[in-house]
Amino acid sequence: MSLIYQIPRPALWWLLIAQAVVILPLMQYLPLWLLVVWAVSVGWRIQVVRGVYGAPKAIVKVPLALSMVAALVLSYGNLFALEPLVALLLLAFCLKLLELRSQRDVLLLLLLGFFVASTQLLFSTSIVAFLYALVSFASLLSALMALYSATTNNSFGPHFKQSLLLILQAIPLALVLFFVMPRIGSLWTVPLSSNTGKTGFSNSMEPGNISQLNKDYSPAFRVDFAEKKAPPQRSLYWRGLSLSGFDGRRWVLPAHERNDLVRYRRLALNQRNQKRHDWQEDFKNYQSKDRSRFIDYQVMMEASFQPWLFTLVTASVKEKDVLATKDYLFLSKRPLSQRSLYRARSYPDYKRQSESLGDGERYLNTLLPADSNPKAKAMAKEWRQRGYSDRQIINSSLELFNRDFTYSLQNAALNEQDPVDDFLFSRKRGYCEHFASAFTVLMRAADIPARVVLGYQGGQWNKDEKYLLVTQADAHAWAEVWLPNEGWTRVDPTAAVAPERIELGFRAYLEQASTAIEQYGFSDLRQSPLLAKLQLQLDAINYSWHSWILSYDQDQQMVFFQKVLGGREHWRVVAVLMGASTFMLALLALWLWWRGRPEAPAAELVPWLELEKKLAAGGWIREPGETPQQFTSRVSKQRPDLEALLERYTKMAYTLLYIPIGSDQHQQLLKDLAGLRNSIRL
Amino acid sequence: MSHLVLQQSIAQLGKVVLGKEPQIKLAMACLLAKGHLLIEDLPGMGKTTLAHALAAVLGLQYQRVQFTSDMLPADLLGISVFDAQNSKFDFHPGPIFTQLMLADEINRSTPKTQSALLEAMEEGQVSIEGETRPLPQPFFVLATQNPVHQSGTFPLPESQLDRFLMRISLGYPSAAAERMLLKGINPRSLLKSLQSTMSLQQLADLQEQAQAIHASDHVLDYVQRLIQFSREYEGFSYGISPRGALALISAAKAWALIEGREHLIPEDVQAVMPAVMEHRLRASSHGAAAEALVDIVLNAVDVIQG
Repeated sequence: MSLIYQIPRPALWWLLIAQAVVILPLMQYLPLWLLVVWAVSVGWRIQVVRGVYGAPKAIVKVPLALSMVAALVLSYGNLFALEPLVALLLLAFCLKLLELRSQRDVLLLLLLGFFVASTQLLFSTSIVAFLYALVSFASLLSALMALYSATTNNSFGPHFKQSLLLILQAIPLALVLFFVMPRIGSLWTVPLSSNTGKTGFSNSMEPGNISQLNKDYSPAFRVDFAEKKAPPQRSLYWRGLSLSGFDGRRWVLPAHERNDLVRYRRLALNQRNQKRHDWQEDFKNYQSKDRSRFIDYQVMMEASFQPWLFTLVTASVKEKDVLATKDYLFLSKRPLSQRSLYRARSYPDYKRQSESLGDGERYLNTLLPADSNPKAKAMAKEWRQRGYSDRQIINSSLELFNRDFTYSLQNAALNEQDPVDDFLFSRKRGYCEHFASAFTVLMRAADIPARVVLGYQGGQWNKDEKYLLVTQADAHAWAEVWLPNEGWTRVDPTAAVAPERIELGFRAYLEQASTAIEQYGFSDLRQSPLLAKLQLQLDAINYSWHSWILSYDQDQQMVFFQKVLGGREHWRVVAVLMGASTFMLALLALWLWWRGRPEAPAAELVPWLELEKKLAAGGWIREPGETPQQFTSRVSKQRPDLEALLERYTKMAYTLLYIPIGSDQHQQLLKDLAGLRNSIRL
Repeated sequence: MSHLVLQQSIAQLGKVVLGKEPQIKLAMACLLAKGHLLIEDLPGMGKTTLAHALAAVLGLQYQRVQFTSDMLPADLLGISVFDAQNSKFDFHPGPIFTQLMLADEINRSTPKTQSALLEAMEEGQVSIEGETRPLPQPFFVLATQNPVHQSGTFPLPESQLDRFLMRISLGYPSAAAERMLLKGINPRSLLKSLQSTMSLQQLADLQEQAQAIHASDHVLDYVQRLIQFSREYEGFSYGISPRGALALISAAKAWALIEGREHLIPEDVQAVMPAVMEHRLRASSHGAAAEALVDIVLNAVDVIQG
């Protein structure tokens, strides 16, 4: 019978702690029954260690593992996405606990632990997740140390401290590798299967779907203006997508634009064929004019799982795999499934398509379903019959909103059949999407080309870090109308109803809102000022983290090479890697030397050492076993002239060494020796 | 004052043991350091005379035991004899119950008897028939042994050798001293005329003073370097034990007291080194050196290391 390997107790405890630490964060993304698997494995392992159960045999283990994998397939339907794969890894991490037959197995389990702890970062790259990963690594290292440590004490402190120290020591090298190690693009990508549709809005708008977002203060994107100064709140309309199709209730993309990828490919094809449209030519000319006012900014967008980029009007974005649509909106080739960064330049004074609107476009943007919202249509037609100009019609409707309507979050369901009529003539209260929708319907009924634009309005300026934070709560909908000679013009009916919302931004609007508006359902959304401030500060930290660490990619690395290393040749990179490592090792060596450096001789030893040095210069070296007195008497035989002096000095210097320090005699000797010091000359 | 007493004692001893002042001083230092002394020499070199004279000068009780191969522990420690009149055992103390015991030719006795001496030397007490009896204070053992290569000897084991603070040998007398002997002036006859120079209390005080001699860090460093060298040097089978190190320090302190100094200097250590260390070291097979083992150590170790 062979000996059964028993894992040392402290190592087992550390192993279990480390496992718990590693598994915990993954549980927000993975099915909870994995926790049960872990608990059972832990229970079994503990019983094995206590000698109650035997280790499971293959006949148990194989079906167990297979059934677990089957369970995974059942709960995900498909194994080849990120989450199921991580879950599979986690499963292996838990079940391996049943099979610790040698120290090598424990080692394997711990190494697997490092891998599992890293997968957590696939789901979240916030600074909290990063710090948590460090803690996970520290616990795994502690387990590793407990495994190899000979002592069997059960205190956890020393191991953990040691691991933190190890990690701390690794940080400089990690930084060098982070900045200098050449980055290789990912070999493959596994899409996250969930999370889609968690944030942001979809490619359509119907009453109620924007007001749902208002409770969500998670960041949508952050903007870093080149001037480190935000334009006024009322001009911060972040356009995402424009909706021209309307079915009487929902605003949608026109049928031929609904498939994002097809749309992108068509745009790409046009561009490749050098088919320039007038509108593109026009914008290009405008851009090259000297007087054109523009705003440069950089947007760091959170994963939206939608292909649209958000920009101020009228923008140009030059990024790889991003194309401009005709309404100056930007479409990415793939949905933004991770945080991404883009640079944009906006020309706020540019008039879009001021010359003319194509027939097709005009038709599309004045189209209304024939059999819905008759009252609204009738009212607009009446205005037109009165001979109002386009401007006058716009103003009339805005006046109407301003006079009779209230901005409210209370979301009573509108009439299914004619929601706009219901809103305009009976409810008379609503949220931005209601106003935008009703306004656009009125415009179209009056034969003014109009469309709904979805995006964000405003944002919060972070004074310390100088960036603008736009959260989901800032989601907004407004309208754009086409006017001759002015082109597409933004009209925000919400501004007519609740100008403060636009002037101050959503959050500030909530904070300063009086009791009067509480009845409209905003009070629930209000945050305590302290909490809001804290949130803003936290966001600032996260922003720095994202902009300094996470956005460091291959391109930035090239910039870094160019700037810091003066070039991007391979030899430079290799030289820096080697140089930095050598430098760090040298620092370590220096420190070790410093710790073991010879100490300065004690004060009472100095007089004798001085004499010894002088005599050595004269060619007399003391034998190791020779006492000073024997030594100087040897010297005196060759230099009788020095005898008296040497003898006196030696006697004193020698006595000084052995009498109690601080005694009167000691002081006296020091004094006498100082007097004699210079009289010895060889 | 104490210095004077010691000088006087040494002068007295010098009258009896002619021309052996270094050995006399070492013997004095050994007693001041409360250690036991082993004198190794050929027969007839004056070992017994020295022991006798020491007892007389220091004013100690004196017993002499001649060790033989048929000697038993009871001969040394004492025995209980049944007293028929009183119907009880009476303890008859052996020769060990004295202040200075001369164990003559200790290596002639069997190990059994030798080890009976062990407890007495180390603890200052003896256990006889299950009863522990304290020995008089002070208690010194002054043993003599014949060189081990002589016939009829049981060499003392290392453990027992280690219990002797010093091992000295007297050596042949100088020509002048020998001439006096030959002239018929028998030092032994002078023994009776020796005056004790100190009381027991004075002796105890002197021992106290020897302990209180100041040993600075530098001299302790030196001692440690010596010890360390003896442990690391490959010419030795084994190094000095911590007990040996302690012995070295206390013997050196006693030497410093005799020299009339209040602090310890390396010369003190060097002076007592041969007596304290030589019997505690053994050359290993591949380090058979011609010079004395102690000299190897003394010559190799730096007195002052900056």
